Amino acid sequence: MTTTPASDLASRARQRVGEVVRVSADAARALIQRPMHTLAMIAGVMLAVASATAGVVVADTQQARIDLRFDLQRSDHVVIQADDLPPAGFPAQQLRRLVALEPVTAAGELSIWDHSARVSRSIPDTPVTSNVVVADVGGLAAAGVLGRSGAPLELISATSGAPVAWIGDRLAARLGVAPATGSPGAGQDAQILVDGTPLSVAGVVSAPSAFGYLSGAVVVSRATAVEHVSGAGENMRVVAQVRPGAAKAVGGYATQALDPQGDAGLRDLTPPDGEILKSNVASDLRRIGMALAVVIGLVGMLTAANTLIMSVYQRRRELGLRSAMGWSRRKIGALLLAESALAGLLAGVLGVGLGFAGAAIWCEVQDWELIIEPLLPVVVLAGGVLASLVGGLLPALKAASISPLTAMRS
Amino acid sequence: MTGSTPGSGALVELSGVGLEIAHPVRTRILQPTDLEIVAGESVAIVGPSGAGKTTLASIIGTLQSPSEGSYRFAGQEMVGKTRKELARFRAGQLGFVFQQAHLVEYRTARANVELGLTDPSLNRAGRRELSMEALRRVGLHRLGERLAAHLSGGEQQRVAIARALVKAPSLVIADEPTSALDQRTGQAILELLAGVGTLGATLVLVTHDERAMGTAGRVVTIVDGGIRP
Ligand SMILES: Nc1ncnc2c1ncn2[C@@H]1O[C@H](COP(=O)(O)OP(=O)(O)OP(=O)(O)O)[C@@H](O)[C@H]1O
Ligand SMILES: [Mg+2]
Repeated sequence: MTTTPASDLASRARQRVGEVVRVSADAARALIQRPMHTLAMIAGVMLAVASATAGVVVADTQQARIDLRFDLQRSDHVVIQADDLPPAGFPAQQLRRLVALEPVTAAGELSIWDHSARVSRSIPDTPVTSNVVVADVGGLAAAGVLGRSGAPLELISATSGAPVAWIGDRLAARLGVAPATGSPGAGQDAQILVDGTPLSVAGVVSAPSAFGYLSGAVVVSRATAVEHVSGAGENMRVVAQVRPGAAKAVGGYATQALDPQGDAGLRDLTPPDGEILKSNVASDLRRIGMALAVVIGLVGMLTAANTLIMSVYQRRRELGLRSAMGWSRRKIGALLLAESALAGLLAGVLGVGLGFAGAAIWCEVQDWELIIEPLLPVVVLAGGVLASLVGGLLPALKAASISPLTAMRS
Repeated sequence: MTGSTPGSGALVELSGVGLEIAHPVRTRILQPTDLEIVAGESVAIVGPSGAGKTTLASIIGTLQSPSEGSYRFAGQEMVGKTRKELARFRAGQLGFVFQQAHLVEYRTARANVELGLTDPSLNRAGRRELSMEALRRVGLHRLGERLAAHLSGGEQQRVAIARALVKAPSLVIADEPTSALDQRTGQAILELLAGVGTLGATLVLVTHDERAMGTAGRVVTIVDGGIRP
């Protein structure tokens, strides 16, 4: 009967562990041997974990896409439009002040002269409706326009009213115009008719997607437009290319610098800052995903609780028998909680797998690269076990309160 | 365990034990009853239906507490013990056989017998060995790995007996263990229970079965909630 306290403690601890293992194994068997019941029990939590996983993965992945898109579109262009300017255009001196600003890399005119000019190669041809754009060297540089063939773009400011135009590559393809390549200034035999006025094609240009309309446009200098192309111009715009993020500030300053008296009726058309928009979309997506998962999780918890309550009712004789055989109420409650926890773990593992698979398929279809937060599986797994455990509380209490008499009286 | 007690030496000692319930209406179910059962004895409790046999057996088995009187088991007072203490007492001392076997259907016969083992110091091999031995005693050692759901009614009741005996209890309480079985099978079950005494256990057997009265050492008859002298 006499044992040293230490060894007594150790053997008691070993027995405790043995009990826990046995109860867990008991619970595991109850789950394994009744697969349909187990499936009914875990279905809700499993779906919740799956939707949480898929939701967050898709949100994160979409987030990355949005980041990318906004990076591309990040407002690095200032656009200022004048409503009341004389046909002579922006005063050159004031434009120079804009270019001199530190964040500005290039700036100049890029105006629409006529948005529906009829352009063709010769009179019998069907004309193509195009933009006639008035630009100077700075404006084309700010828009990222590149010369593809023909005369260098820099010559546009030196045309001094001659009937010469550059055309966008898309328009060139439609008209079948190809000025002699690699021979700037030479062999310009290509001619186009713009609203009936013949202009010779000096070169073909290409434009980045942000200024995609230039690919289908006829680009001329202001002097050429005034002298040869009908109309008086639709708008007058200055475009400046700036350091990313500086657009709004430069825009505000530029309206002041270009028109200190406010005579020209300048308007700042700089697009809104992508940064702010981006972070709004980001947190919204995740929040919606999480809220959805919580709602499904609650439903799943109730489903698990309901299934387990019914199971306790079904097994009340067995549980009453355990009580009659001397199982304490705590141990019977623990048996049920172990069942819930194991079911939650199963639901979590299956749900995480299902969620990742769903997200992977979705992103594969969208051709997106999957973005996975490394902690996500752990968090949603723990959430699933927790939901299942909470759902198991009431059934466990119910099971623990079954009288040992139940075994005798049925 | 220490079976020796000061005083009478009876294993079960009921004095003035009765049960009256208050809900839904005040009803007396068991008259104040005196009963002594000594260790190793085999007692049959008989009587008409509704007389109170199950009630008396359940009080002896501490599945419910009497509303009055004193119940001493091996000299120890049982009335007033907590639920936890009573559970530990049942785990250590008592084995039950009910009308229904109440086996866990999706477990094997041996696993069901193992459920009756409450000694936490036993290791896996020890538990297995004791269970197989108990199954051998009821003649089912060859069916140890069969699922309980696949056993016949008589076999299930044998497993239940093995489950009650596996922990070598000092008292076995059986409440009509043969009423769900046919004559021959019931006879075999009664013989098994009669053998409990040879293991040193005491038997309290509630029954309608005439044959059981023959094998029992003593017959206690209950009528209208009281022992007929
Ligand atoms: N908790 C209770 N509430 C109300 N009545 C009860 C309760 N427990 C027992 N009784 C009643 O007490 C009486 C005795 O019941 P008990 O089950 O002990 O009879 P029994 O002798 O075992 O009968 P049987 O041979 O039919 O099993 C019955 O009339 C029963 O309805
Ligand atoms: Mg009865």
